[in-house]
Amino acid sequence: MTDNTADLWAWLYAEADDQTPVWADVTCVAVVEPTAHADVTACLAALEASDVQPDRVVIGSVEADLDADWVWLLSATARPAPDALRHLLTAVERHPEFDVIGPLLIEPRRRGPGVMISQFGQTLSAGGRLRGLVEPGELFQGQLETTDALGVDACGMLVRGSTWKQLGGLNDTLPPSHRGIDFGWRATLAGARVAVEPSAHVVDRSPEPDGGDARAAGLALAAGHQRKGLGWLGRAGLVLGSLLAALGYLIGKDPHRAGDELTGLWRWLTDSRLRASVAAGVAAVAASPEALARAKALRPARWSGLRRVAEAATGRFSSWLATFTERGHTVGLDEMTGDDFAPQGTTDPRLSALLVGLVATIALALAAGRSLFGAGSLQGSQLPAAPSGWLDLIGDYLTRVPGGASLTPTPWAGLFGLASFVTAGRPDWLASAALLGCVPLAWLAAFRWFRQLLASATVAGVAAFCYALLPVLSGIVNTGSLAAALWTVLLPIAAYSATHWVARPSWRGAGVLGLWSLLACAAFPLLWVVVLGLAVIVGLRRGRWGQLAVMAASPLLVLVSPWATTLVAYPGRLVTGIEPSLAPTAALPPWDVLLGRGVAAGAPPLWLSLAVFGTFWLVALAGALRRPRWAGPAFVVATVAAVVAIALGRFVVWVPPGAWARPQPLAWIVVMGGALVCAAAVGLDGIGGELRGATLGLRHLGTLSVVVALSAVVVLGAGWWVVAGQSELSRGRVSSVPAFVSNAQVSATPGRTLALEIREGQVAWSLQQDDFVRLGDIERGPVLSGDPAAAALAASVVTRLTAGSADDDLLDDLVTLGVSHVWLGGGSPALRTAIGNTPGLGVGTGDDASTVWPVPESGRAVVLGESRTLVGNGGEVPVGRTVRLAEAADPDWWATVAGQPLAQVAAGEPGQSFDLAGRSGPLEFGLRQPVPWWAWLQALGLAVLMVLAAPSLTRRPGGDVARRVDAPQRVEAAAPRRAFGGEA
Amino acid sequence: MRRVIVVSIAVLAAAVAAALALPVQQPPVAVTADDDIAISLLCQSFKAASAEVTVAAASTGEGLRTASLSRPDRVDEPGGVAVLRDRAEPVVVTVPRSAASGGVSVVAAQAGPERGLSAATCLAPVTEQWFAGVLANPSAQAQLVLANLDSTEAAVDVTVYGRSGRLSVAGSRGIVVAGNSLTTVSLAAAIAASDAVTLHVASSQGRVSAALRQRSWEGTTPLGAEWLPTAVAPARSLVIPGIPAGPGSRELVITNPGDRTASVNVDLLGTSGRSDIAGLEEVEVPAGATRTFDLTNGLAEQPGGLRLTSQWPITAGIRGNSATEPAQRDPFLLAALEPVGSDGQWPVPVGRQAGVEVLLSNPDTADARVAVGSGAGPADEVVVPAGGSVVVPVRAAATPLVRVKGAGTQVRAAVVASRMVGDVRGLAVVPLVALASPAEGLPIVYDPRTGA
Repeated sequence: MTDNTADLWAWLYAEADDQTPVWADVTCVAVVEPTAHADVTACLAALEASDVQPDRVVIGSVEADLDADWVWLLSATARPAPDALRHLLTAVERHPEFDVIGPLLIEPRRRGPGVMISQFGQTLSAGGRLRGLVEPGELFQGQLETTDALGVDACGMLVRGSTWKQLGGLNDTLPPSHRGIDFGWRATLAGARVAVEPSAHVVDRSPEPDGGDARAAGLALAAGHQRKGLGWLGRAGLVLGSLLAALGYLIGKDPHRAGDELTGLWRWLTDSRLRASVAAGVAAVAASPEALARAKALRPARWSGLRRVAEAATGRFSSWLATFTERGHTVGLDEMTGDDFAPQGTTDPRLSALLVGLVATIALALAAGRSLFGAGSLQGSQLPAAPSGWLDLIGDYLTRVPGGASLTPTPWAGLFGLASFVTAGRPDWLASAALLGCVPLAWLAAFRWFRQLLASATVAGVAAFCYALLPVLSGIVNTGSLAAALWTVLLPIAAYSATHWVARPSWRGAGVLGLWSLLACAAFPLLWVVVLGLAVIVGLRRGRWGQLAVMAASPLLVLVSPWATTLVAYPGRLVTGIEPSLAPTAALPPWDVLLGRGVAAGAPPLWLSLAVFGTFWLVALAGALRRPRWAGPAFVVATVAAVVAIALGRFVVWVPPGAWARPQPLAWIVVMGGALVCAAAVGLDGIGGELRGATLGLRHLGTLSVVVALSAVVVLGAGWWVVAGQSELSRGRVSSVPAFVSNAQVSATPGRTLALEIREGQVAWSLQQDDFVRLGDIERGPVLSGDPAAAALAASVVTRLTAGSADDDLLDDLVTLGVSHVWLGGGSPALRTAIGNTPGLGVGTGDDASTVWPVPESGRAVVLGESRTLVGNGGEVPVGRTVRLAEAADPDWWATVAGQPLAQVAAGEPGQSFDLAGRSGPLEFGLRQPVPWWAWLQALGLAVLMVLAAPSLTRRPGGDVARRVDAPQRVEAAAPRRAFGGEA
Repeated sequence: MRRVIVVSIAVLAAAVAAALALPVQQPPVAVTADDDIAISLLCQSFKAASAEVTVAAASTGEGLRTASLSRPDRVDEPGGVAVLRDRAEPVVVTVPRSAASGGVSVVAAQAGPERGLSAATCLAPVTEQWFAGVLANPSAQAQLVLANLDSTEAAVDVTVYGRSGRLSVAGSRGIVVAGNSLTTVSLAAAIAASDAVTLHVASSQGRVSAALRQRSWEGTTPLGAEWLPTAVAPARSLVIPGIPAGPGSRELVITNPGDRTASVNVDLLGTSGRSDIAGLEEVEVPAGATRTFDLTNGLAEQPGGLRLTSQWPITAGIRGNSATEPAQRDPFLLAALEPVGSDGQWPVPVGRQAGVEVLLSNPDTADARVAVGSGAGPADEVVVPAGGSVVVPVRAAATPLVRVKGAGTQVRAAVVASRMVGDVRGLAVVPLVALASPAEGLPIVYDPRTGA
């Protein structure tokens, strides 16, 4: 009869009665080495508790000729598990080929079950960095198995006695952290097998080794084991690697590790005893080719270091992305009582607001910009075509403007050129991304900030969308106002960074805000006053003057530069944005500002603005009255911004390159709108929870009205954005003139084009040269702006041409201006005839759309003598009287003929003249440029700011600023309710 | 905090109120340094043994200068008025564009080919001109005078529209006019049409100032001479002002240069208002043809103007004379004109004994207010009723200065001068159109993106 109660699997667990461990006959000596930080008592106690006791325990330093079958090395800080030795011995029983075997080093026990890995085996990178076979901090769940390794930590290492004697024990000149890898490596070269056994656990409570000593040891080991043929090249590689690593740590704002790199490098280079001991140990081992190959295979693969850097960067990027994602808004029991791996927050099965918002805004942006993708340059009424390359912008920034009109290159153009590096050096792509993508980017930035302020992700998403529509509803995108579009994106970034800095001041936060201040003040110089004032106020309350100084002083990099002379000569620029002369001069009625209509042409219909901003004002007021303490300040900021915008629009100011302009309210409207949205969202946040379960009343009706109104705002705003929000922008050719005219502007003998166009009941004109006017040229000063007399002459020529005066001076004046072609767009036949009858002008060609007249022998450089001859830079000049450059006169102009310098002469008319003095030959001329030392200073300051602002390698301790959480629902007693809730 | 919110709202309201109440600073108007931009006019003049030819030019601004066509050395004329007599060749008058300026040439003769009183306005060179109602036959000499004020050569084409359509005229293409010179084309032999024709003079190169001198004969007896004014380019609505009161024939000449028959409505803009002309309420003009219609009975010696409306572009003029008796008869010629313009001043050197009137016609549906002045005195505001005409007498003077300001109106104007020249009832009608440059009225603004 069968005994069904018997365990059919008992054989699996049973040990043979006659089976005894093999190691029972071997001697095992445990050596416990005392340390300066701990005594041996605890370690001896742990040994006492072992289920397999060593035959002998030696307390003291390890002797090289220790006689035993197996030597088990422990330090005073080691706490072996009771079964650690047994597992080690079992492993060598199963694998008799192992000569050195080490345990799994674990971290001291943490809250809850689970074993955290501290170190599992050792290897050394080509750069001398000690690595484990797995990343520390992993949870051990039995996923590891006995594995070959280059070395194991000396703490807990079990060594075959013969191997111990053969290799002469550990190298005492190395720090304890590196003795194991050194021994294991020499053992591997000697033909021994080194392995690590994961089932044997030892807790090592030894302190972190000195970073410099550890680094020096790693370098010594790496150098000592390099191929003989490398020689000094190998050591130079190690030095370079250390220096680059130190730089990387500095950039990653980890100065301690950077210091360890440099200290370790210095110690390695200066400690000859260390180097000699390592080299002697390596040299004492006769390594076979198989052993060398085996050792090489146990080291990290090539480029593993770069892979680690990439993984670290990816990890930091993921952490940064986490600042956008929503988290559960309640703290659960698991989170309170569990360990580090317990689930945090409640699981929200709905779609992420971040994902929904991002996809929606990007889809809408693509739809809205459907006609603006393709070849050509993006242009608008306040957006000239961008230069073809980023170097053009930077080159223009470093080139001074000739003449005495105090015009200088603009810092914002230089910054835009630098930023174009991220768009493959194409400023047009950056401008397109900024304008066409400003809504999604603004939404993303605003959503991140609103998530800090609000409990509900949905409310944050809607509020962010309302904010993100501001550049569309105000006309910023339609007019191509680049600075205002970027301002819309940067403003919530600054708010987020400022919020974090106030909660937890840091140099990184100061760097971010400093960088933001610099960018903002490059476009809107007046902001520096605001930044400075806020810095002083915050400093008086909280100190941190150093970090506040970084924020407040950063804009000085652009304000205290050659641009300062322009700001002094054209003080109106302080209160305007970029390219201020492109803005319309018609004043806006004050209600347009309140309704967020920053421009007359390009804004949405009045009824739409009324619906949207009327809702914003009312809801913001309701929010401010409900929570005056939290939402009130935002409402006040909105009213202040509106007052400033209205006041600025009443005046006209003198701006470069010498025109009267009216400050536009666009940036202030963004501040106003953003503050209104903030007041509304913060003020009404959580009202749903308050009303839930409450008796139906006026508050419910009011809340429903707000929801309906805001929904309508979102739909109407988004709809108008897609239909007509970018209809005023266009993409196409840069110029309207025929190709032969534009070619003439960039030929070897370049000339200018006097462009006239009849449109909108007026005659518009300009002088074009080179590649036509581009982004940054207008404020810097287009053609001849540095010479007011030349500008006046050009205006006179246009007036006389269009009047049909046909006077004899016109041709000479055109030559003085360097005009090689006159181009007329549109115009009546009578006007064309009137221009064509200018004495000396060439025969006009064209069609009904445009006509071009050549100006014979005219260009930007001519030789005057018995006749007039057009010349170019590097070309041959005939014998003549003077060389005249159609450029703004400046003492820094130079010219040579056949290498002989020419003297400047005063010609009594616009332009720069040189006395030929009868010479002829190759002509060269140019404008002397000062050494742009200030640009290097600015670049250095910008680099420092960017390093400060860059994410650090290590996370901030304590995590991010705590988000606001919903208050728990209270059970109200039956009591009369007010019609409106909020704070008392 | 609520108090702060309320205060901020109050501040905002105050800011809005202040913005509405206070004036907005405007950018200074950019004044070009060329208020002395000059326009050149050509005043007809010639040497005639039996006639007195007077050229008068005036300007309210400084910079009035005169020169001969062939010798463009300009002579300053201080005082703002220049009166030149018996110049052998046309006179180039340079006036500032910004001022009210004008010039008139007057020929007075008791006998001879230039018999009677004739006048022509000084004109700036243009690219095309129309002359409606030219008689070119053995009884009517028509001389086309082409003057080139520029130093560069000009080339002119002449197209003739006769009763049956366009006429092929030898030598009418590519008429070259050298710089600073004039060319005279006699049309009688070339055209030889019994009925009135219309000329279209267009320059293919350069520009000219064209004038047409019409001389009438009966056998060997001169019946008078007159300049035919330039008519407007063909349009669907035309106004012919300056029909003088009094006896004499009146003929309407209409040319249809298009390729479809035009039906033309003819309205009289009389001193009593708009009215039809019996038998001429609607007339038809075949494509490419010129037709003549008798207005004598319909006008009944009343002054006024004519308004012509057509579904296709037409041009027109009026031929008439001052008396029924041939011995007293002096021809006059009218043409469809542009509105009088914002401000113009014309000196009319007809002598103190001449009667001078300004005839204003308003084709619009609303009354128009026009300022009319003479001499140095202030201009009086005259209301020209809708669809009607007004006659404004001008104070007698040797060279009465007529000034008309009709900015923003559709009023057409002409000066009617009459005086006895021997036995002839001299009658001359001077069309008044203020000077305008091709870009007149268009503000000039600097826009750095123009062409880019």
